[in-house]
Amino acid sequence: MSAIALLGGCADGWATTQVSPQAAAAGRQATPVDQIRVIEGDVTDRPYKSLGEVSATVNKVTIFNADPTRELVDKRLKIEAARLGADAVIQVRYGTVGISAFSWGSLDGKGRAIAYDKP
Amino acid sequence: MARAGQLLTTSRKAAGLAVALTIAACARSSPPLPPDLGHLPPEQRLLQGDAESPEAKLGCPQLKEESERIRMAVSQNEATIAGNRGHNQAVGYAGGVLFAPLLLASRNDDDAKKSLDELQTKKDRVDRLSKAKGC
Repeated sequence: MSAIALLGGCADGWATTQVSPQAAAAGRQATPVDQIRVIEGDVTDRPYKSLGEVSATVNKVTIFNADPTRELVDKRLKIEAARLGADAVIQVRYGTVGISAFSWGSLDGKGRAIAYDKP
Repeated sequence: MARAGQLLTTSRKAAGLAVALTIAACARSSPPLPPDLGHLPPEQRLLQGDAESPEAKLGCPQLKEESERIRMAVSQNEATIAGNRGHNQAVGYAGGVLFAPLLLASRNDDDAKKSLDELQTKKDRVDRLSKAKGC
């Protein structure tokens, strides 16, 4: 019971992430997470290179925790994109919260990490 | 006695299957990403079939309206799924702790989930066309 209460105290729940980096991501320096933008569509006002796909799944710990939100998924996507040295995550899309094999509430999202071409 | 044992095994298998089906069906994964067209100029970032789609005939104001229609339909479907979350959690808890066949009472919202995936595809297409037309 105390273990459940302890786990229940974790505000963000537990999460899994996945990254499929492309060649363009090799050797890039990590970007500060707070500089990464999350965009649901494409970017057409400036050229960019795709660095790879990033995905994240956020899970709630117990049935009594709040459902995971898109903001939590965005936070995880930004962390993974930052590691690739990205400036933004575009084409972001989300699943819907539901029970999954290991969680009472699971929400996933994915997007494409990109880096703007330097002028 | 042997028959009772067989029945018990069968009902356990059925309950296990119900649990597996229910659990597998509840969460909806995010739809796949569209192909990466970033290397092309914006006006050429179209997929095969975009130019022949009904949306391709629309002008910028109509594409904007279509985009808004899609956004509202997405909200409605998401609200339907969210509305069943409490019910599904209660059923999941009761089914997991008390009586597994209760899991069959969960609402999977398959139509709403399918519709969300289709709407995402349509949204992507409308976005591509809007940007290709410079809207």
